[in-house]
Amino acid sequence: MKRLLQSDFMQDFFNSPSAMISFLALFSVIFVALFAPWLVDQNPFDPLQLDLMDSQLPPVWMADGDSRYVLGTDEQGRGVLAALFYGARLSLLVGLASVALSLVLGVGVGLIAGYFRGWADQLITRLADLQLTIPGLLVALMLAGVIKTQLPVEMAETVMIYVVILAIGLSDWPKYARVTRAAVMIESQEDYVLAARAMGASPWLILRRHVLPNIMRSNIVIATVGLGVAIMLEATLSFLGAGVPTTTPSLGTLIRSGANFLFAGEWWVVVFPGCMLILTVFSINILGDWLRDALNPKLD
Amino acid sequence: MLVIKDLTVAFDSRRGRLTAVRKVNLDLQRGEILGVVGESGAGKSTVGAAVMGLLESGGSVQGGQIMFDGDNLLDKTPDQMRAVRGRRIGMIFQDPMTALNPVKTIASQLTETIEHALDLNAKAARIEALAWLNKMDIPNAEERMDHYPHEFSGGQRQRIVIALALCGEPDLVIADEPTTALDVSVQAQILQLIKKLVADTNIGIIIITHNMGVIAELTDRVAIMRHGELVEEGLTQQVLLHPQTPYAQMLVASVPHGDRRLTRLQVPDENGIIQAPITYTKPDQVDNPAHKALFKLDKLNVIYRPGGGVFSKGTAVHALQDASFTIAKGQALGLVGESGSGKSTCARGIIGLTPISSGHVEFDGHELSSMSERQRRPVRADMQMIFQDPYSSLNKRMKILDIIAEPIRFYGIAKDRSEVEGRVESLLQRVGLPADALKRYPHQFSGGQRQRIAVARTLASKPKMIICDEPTSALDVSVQAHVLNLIKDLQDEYDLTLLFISHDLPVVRQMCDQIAVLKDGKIVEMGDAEAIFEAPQHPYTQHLIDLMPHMAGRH
Repeated sequence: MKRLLQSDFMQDFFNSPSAMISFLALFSVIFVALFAPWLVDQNPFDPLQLDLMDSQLPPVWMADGDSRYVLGTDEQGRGVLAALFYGARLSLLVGLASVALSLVLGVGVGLIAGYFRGWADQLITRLADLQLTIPGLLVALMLAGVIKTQLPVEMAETVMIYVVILAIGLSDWPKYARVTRAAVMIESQEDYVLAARAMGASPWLILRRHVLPNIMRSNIVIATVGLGVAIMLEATLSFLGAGVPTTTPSLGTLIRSGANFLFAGEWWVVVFPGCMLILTVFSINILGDWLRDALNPKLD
Repeated sequence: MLVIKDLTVAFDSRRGRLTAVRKVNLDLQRGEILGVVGESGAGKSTVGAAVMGLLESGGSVQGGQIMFDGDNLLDKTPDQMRAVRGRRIGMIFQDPMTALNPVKTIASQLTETIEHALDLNAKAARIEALAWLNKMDIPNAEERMDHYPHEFSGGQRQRIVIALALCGEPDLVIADEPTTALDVSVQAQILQLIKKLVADTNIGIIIITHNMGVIAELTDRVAIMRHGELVEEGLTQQVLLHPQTPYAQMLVASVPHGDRRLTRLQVPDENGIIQAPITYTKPDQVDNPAHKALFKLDKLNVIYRPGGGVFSKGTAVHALQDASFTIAKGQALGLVGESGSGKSTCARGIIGLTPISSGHVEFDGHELSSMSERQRRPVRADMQMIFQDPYSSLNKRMKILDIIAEPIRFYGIAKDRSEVEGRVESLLQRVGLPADALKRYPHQFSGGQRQRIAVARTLASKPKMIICDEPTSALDVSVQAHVLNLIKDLQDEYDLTLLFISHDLPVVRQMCDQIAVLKDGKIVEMGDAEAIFEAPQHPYTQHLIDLMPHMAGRH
């Protein structure tokens, strides 16, 4: 632990106020998401805990505010603060899972394309190029939208979250595949890979033990920025109605339902989830930027 | 003309301030060639960059003066320095591949500098540029001056870089490793050219290099640097033949001799005193029937098809043609040639990294070329390879223990964890590294130590034969001597058979019993090493041996 604290990486971190502030912000978001059930009394996903009598209450500092609902309630009597915490939970979960999916998929095919070249490379690269001509949002919207209409309604409630993860994950893999392919092509020419080949090691062993650890650095940096993009994408899908159902709202769903009341004067239902989304994505992006500089191999 | 007084340069990094050059004093007259020599990290390039005012970011001059014709260059503003560079001081860079702008014709690159430096109009500048190219012996200069850099060979490109440095008619030229990226025969031509230019134009040149041969061939005076300090300075002949300081003595002694073979290269021991050279006596193993051929190469051909894709086949390049040789057990064969001669291709073909087009590779009773990968795997343990660049041949994300243990685990040589660790420890000890190296990563070691680690990895599978592909050409000369001696010791100890690939003839002479000379993919001469060095038969071999640098110089 002491060695970690004294490493260049941590020194860099403590010398960068923007990195520290955004880390703190992101840490708080993760904290409230993780411990939501212990931080708020109401579970906004449980209809039994909602009381229509409490609907459309303003935040606590305004007239008619109720101390039980610090940031007010929506039209179903759901506390905005509770919905915010639970929503962040869902947004982060979907973001992380879909980034993991595109990372595994992209790195996997990138390794194959970069190491074996030939027809596999041609196929994978063309496929990636093809998908890159279509905006990621469209790909995800198409996938999520089509699957949602095909699913029976009662199934959509439970399965939709996985569909969204799949849709976002599949929309973002070409980025990782391209970076991985380029890095693998460079690393494969390095003598340590030749040494392993001369030893008689199989391609699988070489890729796993030698190439993969050497190409993950750049992938981790794009994955960090990709996490922000994925969270935004989920919010957009949910806002457009192709995301998670309103019974288990994510930040995007909250903004969608809140937007309907914006002009009725109930601004709190949409503004707070919006701020939460901005805070999360912004701090992830700042951290990603900082990580890219801190992990720059030139500065080793 | 140039007087450097107490120059101190420091670099700021996140690990704090590092003094790269400490109180260095140098001077240079017109018409003189001064060599600045030292091993990596000596600060020699930093001196050159400080004179040019082109220190890398983070670097700053902390003290001293650089007087150039009476002006202190350190007092000049960046604008004034820009006027000095090009017009008064020219620079020749190491790599001719990157020193020229690839998207501009060489004529436009030359005329640009000439117009700026000599205030000539475009037409006059073009005439001047042509004159320079002719002076540099560029064939068909008039036609070819509108070509792009990639259309010239490496040697021609370096001549163009030199023309670029000289066409502004500077008084001083700084050449940072001007021939390091070039083959020996091209290097010899470039050195001759530089010598002639100095005699003709009376300019002063500072040559920064790690190569003692270049110093001996070219310079009038030499300054030896170490750890940012000037160690010794004087007339080249004097310093090379009678070095005064211990470091200079060590540096000079470490240079492999091209004129005679020693049993071991000279290296300093802990006290900095040079061991007495032991003159090599030829063992009579060669004719001993007990040492029969372990390795036999029969008419090996390698044909590449670069640029081939799904839709096109690409044109065939015959990288290796009918290469045949045998190596007796315990012997070392040197495969010699310039870049592009096919010597690395040969090694890769043998070890199976490059597909061979035809021919047979026989090793220890096995016919490797017809074996499947699965059949071949156990045989691979007996034939290992040492690579050229120890910075690239070790996986930087793996601990030394895992790097050396990889072949042991892969071939299943040790039974359990403790046996693996025990073997790795004894290997480390054998190559002269401390046991605590186990838990560290490659970046914590110097180039020479890394090459020792690579040697230990090669030995881990108890091979009978080792292919050494330029094993020391990335190393400093004193480190090279240590590593070569280590390879010799190991060869004797384990009765190893070596295929030693190198472009460096003095090194080959020290290491090899037989040599094969490769030119354009064909073996032009082969035989007993001493016999070939004493009386080469083929004109190309004669030419190569003639170009070997001599420590006494050729003045």
